[in-house]
Amino acid sequence: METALDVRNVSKHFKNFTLDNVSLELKENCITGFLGKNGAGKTTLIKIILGLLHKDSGEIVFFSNKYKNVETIKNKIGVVLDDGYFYDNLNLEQMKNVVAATYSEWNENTYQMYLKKFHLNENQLISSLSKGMKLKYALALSLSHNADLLIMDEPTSGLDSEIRKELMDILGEYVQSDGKSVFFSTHITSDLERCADEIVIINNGKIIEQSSKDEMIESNRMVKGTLDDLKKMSDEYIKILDKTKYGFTGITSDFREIKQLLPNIVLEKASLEDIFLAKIGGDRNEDDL
Amino acid sequence: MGRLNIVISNTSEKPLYEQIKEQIKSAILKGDLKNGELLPSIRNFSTDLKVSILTIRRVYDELEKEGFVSSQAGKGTFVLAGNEDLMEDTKRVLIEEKMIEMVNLSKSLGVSLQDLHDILDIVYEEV
Amino acid sequence: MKMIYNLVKKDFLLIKKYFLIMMVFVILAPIFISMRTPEFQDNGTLLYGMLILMVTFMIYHMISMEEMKQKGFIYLQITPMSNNIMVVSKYIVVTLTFLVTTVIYWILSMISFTKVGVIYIKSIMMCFAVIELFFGVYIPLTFKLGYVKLQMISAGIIFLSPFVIALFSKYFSFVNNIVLSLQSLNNLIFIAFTLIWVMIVIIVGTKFSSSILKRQEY
Repeated sequence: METALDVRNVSKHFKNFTLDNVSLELKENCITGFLGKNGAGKTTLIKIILGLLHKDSGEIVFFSNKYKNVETIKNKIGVVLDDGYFYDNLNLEQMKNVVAATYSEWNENTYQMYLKKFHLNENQLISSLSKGMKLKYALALSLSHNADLLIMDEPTSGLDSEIRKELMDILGEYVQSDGKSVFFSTHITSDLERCADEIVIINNGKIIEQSSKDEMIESNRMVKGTLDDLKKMSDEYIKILDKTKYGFTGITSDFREIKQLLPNIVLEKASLEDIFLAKIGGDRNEDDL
Repeated sequence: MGRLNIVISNTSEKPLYEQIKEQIKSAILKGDLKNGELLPSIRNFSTDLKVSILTIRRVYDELEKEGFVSSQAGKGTFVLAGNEDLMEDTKRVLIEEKMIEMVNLSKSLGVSLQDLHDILDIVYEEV
Repeated sequence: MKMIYNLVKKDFLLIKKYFLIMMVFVILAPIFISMRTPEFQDNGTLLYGMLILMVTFMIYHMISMEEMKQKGFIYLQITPMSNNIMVVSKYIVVTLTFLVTTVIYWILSMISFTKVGVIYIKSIMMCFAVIELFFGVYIPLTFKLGYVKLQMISAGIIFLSPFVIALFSKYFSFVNNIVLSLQSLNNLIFIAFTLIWVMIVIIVGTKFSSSILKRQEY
């Protein structure tokens, strides 16, 4: 599978935060979700990828170096940022004119089609758009210049589930065509559960894991049992999510071993949210609880 | 295209890719998917089944390795059902797996081979 | 190019709300000041120079403020558009402002009852050269400084300008003499030199601004 984007050992130091040796690889035709809580470093990395921040070290390779110069690469990238970053005084058409002129493959027909699909009125002022409409507008712009890679930073934060589903559907459609890839960051796991192919987890400026969504979900189970059961499972690897005097809930990847050890233990499919919490959570022995 | 039914369970012990792979395989063995038929594109299939594209990729890769499909760049993935021997062998293996289970159970319950044959006749008639 | 056209248009759209006020100012200020100041009635060069400086500065300042308040600039950074084009569009905004103000002033000076003093091609060109030089420095400065610092500096300039003008009032006659002495030079050569000078200023200023923009982080 071709690589749409290759981030290699990228680091950036701020006063209170460090992006530490981050590496990830976006496969072509995949929707890759970038999952992390607020402040984990998602926006920082995306800004570095887009050139808005300068990395201290590391390398970023676009489209396997198929294109020689930065301008061509930027032409092939569509961007949707949380908060739009538009000129609020302008209306949709005026803003579009500024943006469209910069892209060599701007397709006005495609843009108009999306405007219609999203019920957007070109004469409306950008400042009067709701968050959802701003997202749709940003999407319309990013999908109208034949971009091969769509990069989105928290596109769904603050939006209702209907719009979120709409967006996921559009992304799913987008990657149907050859050579198209999507990378979007979020802290809302249900969006990724629905449509992501691969998931990259980041926490405290470090990449925790990158794997196929299905594999991540299938290689973990939610474990529920008594505190006695917990004592018997000393060798197995469990991340505790919850512990009361009645029992515990946790996530484990050693579910087969645990099943053999304690045949009556409850093992269930874990949600991506719980798996995520377990992976970024602390250590196993929470004696203070 | 013949009827290709894929139903996947999220709560089954079997990994998703295995479930899908087996269902495609049995469709080929049953003849629901004919030799030379074009399977859905990886991307379309993954979107329709709501699984990761990488999962479907694995399914197609493994099916190709096992000789049930053939992938051609730019054209897609085609069913290979022309190999009669492979078909027969696979069917055999699938049945054998179930039979081993059945025989083990019979032996542990003390059911004789003759009784087993009788039960088989009855069940084959009724089902 | 289409990009520059849209950028310039965008800049003027950003300050749409100030348009009317500016127009009124450009038309009334010369008339008012000329009527009160007899020295400017025969030779309007100085008044014209000050007017140009004030108008271009105010327009550019207003646009910069809007740019920094709204975040569209960041979006443009993500597009394939080069920094050079962005900077050149700023120079064009300044130049356009200069042209429009000049035309209005010249029309006013042709209407005798306004008492607005006449100006000569050479004075226009000189002004042009000075203005572009001023912005050759000021434009990179606006990119380098943030919102807050820029406001302070601009406030400072506006605050100091009366004092500066008062200082230069001694040199009113000096400037007039220079202008008169340059009358002997061929107009066309003068224009040519000015245009070359302006081009050099813009090229150097753009290079400088681009490298500043390249290092910027958002």
